[in-house]
Amino acid sequence: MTADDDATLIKGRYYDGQRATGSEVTLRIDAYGVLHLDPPLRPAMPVAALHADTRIAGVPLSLGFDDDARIELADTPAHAAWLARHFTGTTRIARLEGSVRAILVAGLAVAVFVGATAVWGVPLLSRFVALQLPRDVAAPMAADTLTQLDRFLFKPSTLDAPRRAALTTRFDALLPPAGELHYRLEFRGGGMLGPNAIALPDGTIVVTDELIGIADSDDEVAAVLLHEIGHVEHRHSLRQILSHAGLAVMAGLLFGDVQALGGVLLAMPGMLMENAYSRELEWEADSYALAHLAAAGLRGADFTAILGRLERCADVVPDDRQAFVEACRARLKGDAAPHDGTPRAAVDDWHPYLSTHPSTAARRQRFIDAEAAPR
Amino acid sequence: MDPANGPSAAPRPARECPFEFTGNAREYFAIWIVNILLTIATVGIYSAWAKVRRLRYFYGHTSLEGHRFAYHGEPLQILKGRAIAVAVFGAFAAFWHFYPALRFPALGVGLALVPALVVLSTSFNLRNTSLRNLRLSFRRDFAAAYRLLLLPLGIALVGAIALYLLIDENGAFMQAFLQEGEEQGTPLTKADLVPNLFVLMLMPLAPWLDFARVRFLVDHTRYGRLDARFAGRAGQFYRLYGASLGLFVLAGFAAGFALLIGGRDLGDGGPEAGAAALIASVLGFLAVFYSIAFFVYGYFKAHRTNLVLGQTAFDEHQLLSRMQALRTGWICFSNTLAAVVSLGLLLPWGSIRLVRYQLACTALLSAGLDDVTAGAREDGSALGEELVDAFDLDLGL
Ligand SMILES: [Zn+2]
Repeated sequence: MTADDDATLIKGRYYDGQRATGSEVTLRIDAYGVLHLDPPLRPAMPVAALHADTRIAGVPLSLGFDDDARIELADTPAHAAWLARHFTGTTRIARLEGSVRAILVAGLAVAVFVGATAVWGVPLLSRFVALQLPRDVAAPMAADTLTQLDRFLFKPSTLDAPRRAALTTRFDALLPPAGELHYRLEFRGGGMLGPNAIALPDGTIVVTDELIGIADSDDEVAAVLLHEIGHVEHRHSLRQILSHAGLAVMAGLLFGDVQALGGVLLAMPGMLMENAYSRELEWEADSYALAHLAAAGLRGADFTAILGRLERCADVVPDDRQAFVEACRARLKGDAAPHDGTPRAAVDDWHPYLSTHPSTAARRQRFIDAEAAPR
Repeated sequence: MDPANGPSAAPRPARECPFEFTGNAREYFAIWIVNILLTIATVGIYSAWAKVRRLRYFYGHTSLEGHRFAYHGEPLQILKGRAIAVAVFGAFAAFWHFYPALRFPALGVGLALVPALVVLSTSFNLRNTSLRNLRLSFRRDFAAAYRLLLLPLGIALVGAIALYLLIDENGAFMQAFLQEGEEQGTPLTKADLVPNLFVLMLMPLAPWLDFARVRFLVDHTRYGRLDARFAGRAGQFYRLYGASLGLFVLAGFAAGFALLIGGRDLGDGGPEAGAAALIASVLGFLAVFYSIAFFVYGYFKAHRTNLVLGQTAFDEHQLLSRMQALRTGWICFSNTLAAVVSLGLLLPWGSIRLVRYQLACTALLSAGLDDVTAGAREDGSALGEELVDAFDLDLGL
């Protein structure tokens, strides 16, 4: 409040809150901070008893009385200055919004923050949170996932008991020193998934008959299992759920008021981001496998060999299990002389952005390089 | 508009009073980006203030007969509501992921809360909207809200059970259903039909549900002493939904046909090139279909708005709405395209554009609102004012 008499006469419109009509009124605030109206629609009163809304560009400035009555003033520079003089804090944010420099800085800061959060913040944060959560938090979810997969995708395994026992023994030898988790190997027919292995967060690892079928040795299967153990050890399922939630919360805060259909298109960057996170996790699981190969008596070549097989058979339709394995093996045999031409590269070019896995070539090269490097 | 004159003696003839919108993209962009910045800087707390600023901008730039609308939501109250909403949704999401067995009970509890939340949030939004410093208001009729939800669910359930009993265990339909399950590797029994039948029975009720919801919301709305009344009929909603669905199917066919013609040349060139062509044509189909879908959506949105507003009257003051389908579709389509190309920077421009068009199509057929007086202050406060305030959440439904 100013000590001087503010001689400025302000024209506004008075609404009594009882009737829909507004009447023109002139406002004046005297040296004692008392508001006078002309015509005197209500007695003079100290400005401290009024509620002034914060200013928003172009929106009428508004002074509220305790009994629902209200005075509206057009948003002119003179009125805004008058409001700022008598009601501190009401024009601060509007000034920020009115400054070109502030807007540029805000835009830049938002862009940097959103980018950094999406690229580093969300994965780091979800990793941190996942490591804090107890390990068994995901157990019911894992059990349910396996039930659903059994119901809709997997078929019972046709592998004979001795073979299963051999692979299970092999699997047990790969496990990290006993921790809180109870690791378990499950065998299934892959169905639509074909040759695959899946890690569930409770330590259950499922390997399909097809994958075992196209592998040349148990060493190759063991290499894949190491990769899956890497997923479990680094709590990848939980991290994926958390980063999905993190992206959703961020998008909701930023673009909460987007119209219905637009939302679908704007979900695409989120999808691409999640694929990027997924590639990072695959890379991390590979790192785990790479670090533990030697201890398990395996070679990098075991891992690269099975990766190569999986890639070559990626477009073989997983029809019947037996037929699939035979078709895939036939193709691999025909590959003795490499014939991969250029057309495939055209597909691979944009593939990385849409894929949930790093390119097989990069993954293989990494194991080859590690093998070649002197220890 | 001089209050000294009091109510005018001779009734004036009703005329069309257009809604006017004076907001512009430049001003709103500044508000939007500062909102985002401060929301980030305060770890989300400012989002309540951001919402109030955004709504005050849009309401304060909308006028009727030279009087502005205003929004009066209290940020602290909205923040409280958001905190509760975040806690509830967080708990719900956690349950959903980590306790699959509790999914359906949690979903049931969530659904049971929806009518109450719709009533509370509508009440909150209307109570905080004013024109000429008179508030809109909403009669909180929870019983009617629950009847509204339970009736169609009951009808669908009864219908599903009736159909279930009618289907012959050994009939052709049942055999086809079981066969389908067999092929997908899921052994099915007749009991598995019930959820399918329930959804099947619920679908034809959707337009009626929309109609009943709109009627419920409008009929419980007041402006001062004026009572809103919805005169629309269920048949109009069925026609709208039917036409939109038809257009949607047609769009699918059109997109498929366009690709069939466009894709014929891509056919030859070895299996590898064939795979690339297949991916290209699938993406092409999606692009064409998605573009057309915007216009179908525009048709639906325009006609639904015209129906909802055009059949709403506040006593003798009749609302009018004349949105055009193609224009609406074009605005939605180009807004989205602009938002994507500009990495979201043109979102505020799009919002302003859509609101400006919608308000330019809206008018009130009225002899003037000068005679309206304030309604009774906060009717039906049986729950107690404080309790209502604590629960008057705004969940943005
Ligand atoms: Zn993996």
